[in-house]
Amino acid sequence: MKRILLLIFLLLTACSGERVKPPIDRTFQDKDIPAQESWNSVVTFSDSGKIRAILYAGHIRMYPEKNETLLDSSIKIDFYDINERKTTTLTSKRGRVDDLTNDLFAIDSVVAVSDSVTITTDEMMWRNKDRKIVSDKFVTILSPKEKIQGYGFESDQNLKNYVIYNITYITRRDTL
Amino acid sequence: MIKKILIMIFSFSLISFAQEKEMITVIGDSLVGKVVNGESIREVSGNVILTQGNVKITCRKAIQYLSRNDAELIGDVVATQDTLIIKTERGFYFGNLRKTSSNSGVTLEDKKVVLTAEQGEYFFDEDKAVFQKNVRLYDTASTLTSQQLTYLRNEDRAIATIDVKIIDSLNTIFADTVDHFRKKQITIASGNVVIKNNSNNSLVFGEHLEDYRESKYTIIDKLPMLVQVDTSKSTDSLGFETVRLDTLLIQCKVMEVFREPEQKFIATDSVRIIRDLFASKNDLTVYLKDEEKIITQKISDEHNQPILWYDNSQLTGDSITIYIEDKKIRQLDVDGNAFMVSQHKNYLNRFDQSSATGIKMFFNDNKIQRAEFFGNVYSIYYLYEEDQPNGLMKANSLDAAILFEDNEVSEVKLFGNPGSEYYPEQQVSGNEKTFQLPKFIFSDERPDKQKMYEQINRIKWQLH
Repeated sequence: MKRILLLIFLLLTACSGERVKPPIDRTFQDKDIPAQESWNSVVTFSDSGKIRAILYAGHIRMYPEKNETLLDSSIKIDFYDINERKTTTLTSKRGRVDDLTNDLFAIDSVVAVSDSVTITTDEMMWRNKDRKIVSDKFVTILSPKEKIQGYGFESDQNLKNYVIYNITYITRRDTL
Repeated sequence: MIKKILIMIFSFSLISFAQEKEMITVIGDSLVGKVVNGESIREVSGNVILTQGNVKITCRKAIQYLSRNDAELIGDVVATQDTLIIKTERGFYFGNLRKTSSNSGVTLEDKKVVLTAEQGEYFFDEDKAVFQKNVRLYDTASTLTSQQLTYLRNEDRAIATIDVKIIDSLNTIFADTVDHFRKKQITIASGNVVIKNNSNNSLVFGEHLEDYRESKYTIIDKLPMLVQVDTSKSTDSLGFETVRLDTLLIQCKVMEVFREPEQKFIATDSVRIIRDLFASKNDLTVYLKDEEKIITQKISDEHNQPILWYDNSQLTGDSITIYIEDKKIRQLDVDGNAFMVSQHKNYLNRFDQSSATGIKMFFNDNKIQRAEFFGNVYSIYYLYEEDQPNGLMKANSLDAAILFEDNEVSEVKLFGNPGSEYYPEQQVSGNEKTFQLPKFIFSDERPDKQKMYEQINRIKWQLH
């Protein structure tokens, strides 16, 4: 009996107010919707008919209005030299391509491997105009005989010639 | 099981320690990695600090050449290890050898010495420095210069070669090689050794010297020779003072200097001494500086007596003692088998002779005044009248005294059973050789200044 009375009371109070409008999210804009989206894609970058880099991405979103392409779900980029020999492989969790400059930003758990050199950092950019790999974050360069750590980094894409700042460089005695 | 674990822990800690020693850590403002002519280079710039174990090096720039296994260090290079500091403008560090080197001027300091040179190497594991070209080593007592020097820090030892020069408050030492033990205060010098006394113009030459500063003892046991350039003043009968060069030359086989408890100089074996009109040949000469006394003596029955020459006179005896005052001879004592011979300046075959148990001679202003003879005195002396020979006198007595004027015999006095015989000139002339006392010897081995100087000229000390 008590339960029936409570139910009637609830129904009466619920029906006595104004009509409720569903909420509308007005912050959402069209440009947040990618113009194109693709999965498990392979993008080839070439110059004068020669392959310079091949990008593998789990998920690509293109935003023409913002002139950028966002990459996620694991990224891998293979860089090639003028003779189309693979020199460096760069991997990261996420990435971004500036569609105006074609600069590529690798973000989160970035690892660049070339010959016996491995570079790890949180963020790295491949600058298209001079084919340089740069970073302003903490960088670690590892080879079998040396370990170089510092903040800020600039290198050719072969990782042969590079500059790193505020460094700590550890090497074995038999390497000097 | 526990034993195995302990061994494992111990082994692991040993490996960790070894690895720690192997590691080289470099920090700096920037690092440029590049490949030049196929060679990998690491160029660290700005506030560079290189650390390996207890070795720390700071500089403005370090360039590591991977294939050559070395690093070039540029600008305000300072390497430290415990109390050791090495400074240079530009150098190299060899990590596998734990060695640093420089050709750009090096300074080493270790709280004991300061070492500078144009070039240098330092071996950190051996605590050894090898410095070259215009090397200078300073410590609290002396300054050493040479063209090459090896400094062994653990032994507190410096081995210097080529144009070595050591300057201290007392002496300057020149040599081809010097081995200096700083802590023990022992110096061993070899080859063209010259010791220049800073206070008395004396030079000691030799081929091998050992100096024990703590026990204040020096020995030169290879071709030693002492040269002391000095001047002596004398006043003539008119009161005019004459200054003459008075160089002392001593040559022997072994020369020793004792500076404590008393200042003593000992020359041993084949001793030759020249000073002005004096000369001596003996087997042992002892100079006691505090007592101003020179003793020469026969060292055994098999050895010859010391011989002393003064002007045209020759003295022999078992022992000869010379007393000096103000650099001038005051008294001369001959003890045991004393024999005195004087050759006449114009009649060279005429020798005044005296023998006795002992002789005492007294000098004034380096001129002989009086000679006293003791015990079994026998003498032969030639007589002259206006410089013309006039026979000779043979005399004997218990004691005797001879007075001199201008180094010439003026009067002879005999004491105790005197006896004398006169021989007229007719008996003497042409028979001078028959008028000789027993044991008469007029030695022709008087030291020759020229020959002694030849030994000095052999030493290239003028080059120093």
